Amino acid sequence: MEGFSIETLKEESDTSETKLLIRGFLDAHTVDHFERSLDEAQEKGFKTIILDFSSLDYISSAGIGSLMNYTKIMKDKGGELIILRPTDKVYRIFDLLGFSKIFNIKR
Amino acid sequence: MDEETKTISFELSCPVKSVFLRHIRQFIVQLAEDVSFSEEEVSQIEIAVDEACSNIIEHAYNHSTDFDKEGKKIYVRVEIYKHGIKIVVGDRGKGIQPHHIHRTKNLKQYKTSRYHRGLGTYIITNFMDDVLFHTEEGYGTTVEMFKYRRDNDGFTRAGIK
Repeated sequence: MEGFSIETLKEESDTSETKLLIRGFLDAHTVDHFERSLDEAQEKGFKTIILDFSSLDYISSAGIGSLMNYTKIMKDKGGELIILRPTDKVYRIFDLLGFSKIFNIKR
Repeated sequence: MDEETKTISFELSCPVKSVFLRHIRQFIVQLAEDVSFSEEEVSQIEIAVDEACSNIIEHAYNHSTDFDKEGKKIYVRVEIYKHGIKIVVGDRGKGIQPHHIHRTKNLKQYKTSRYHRGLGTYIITNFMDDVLFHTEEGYGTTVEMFKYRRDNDGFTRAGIK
């Protein structure tokens, strides 16, 4: 998909952890692709999903809403969703809207 | 031309498809940067316009795929004033009843809600200085958004870059 891609960087069955590199724009056009990848990670049984946002250039409410949903889904399953190294621009949007205190963000 | 009232306007229209959202954002960001808004202000303008356009895609034409039919488009007009930028985003769709617009009053309400609706409208109204929604059944919906230019001390800037 032009302007958006997801690459699996790591899958560790020992720690039940996967890391996905998210590139481009997470908006109303790309959110379905994003959610399919998270669904696949869940179906594989990973308890910890790490989203590397260091190459994510933009996020809209569609992406934020999706992160809210999957944060809750993972928590309900005893797992967690971690956002790793968001770009300054994406972090600023989280911060301005108060989501920097809700999401598990590791800068 | 009177410096106080001088405006430059730009218009863009495109089919109602989410694939074009990034092109609309590029158009808006370029103009907002040229008017010398701060990086943070440009981000706020960018996401506010994106949310207004996304609402059109989701609601205005009932997910129509008849993109070639005249009028089934997203319309964006940008007016640059000495004291700020006005952006009008609209459609010529079915229009909606005002009470059907999802409005999140505060983020606590959004975060505790089950379906997480209304964040887009919250973003528009909180990231832009003045916002006016106009919708009429059968005639479409427009969102007028205004962002003032400010000095570092918070006052409106005196001139255009």
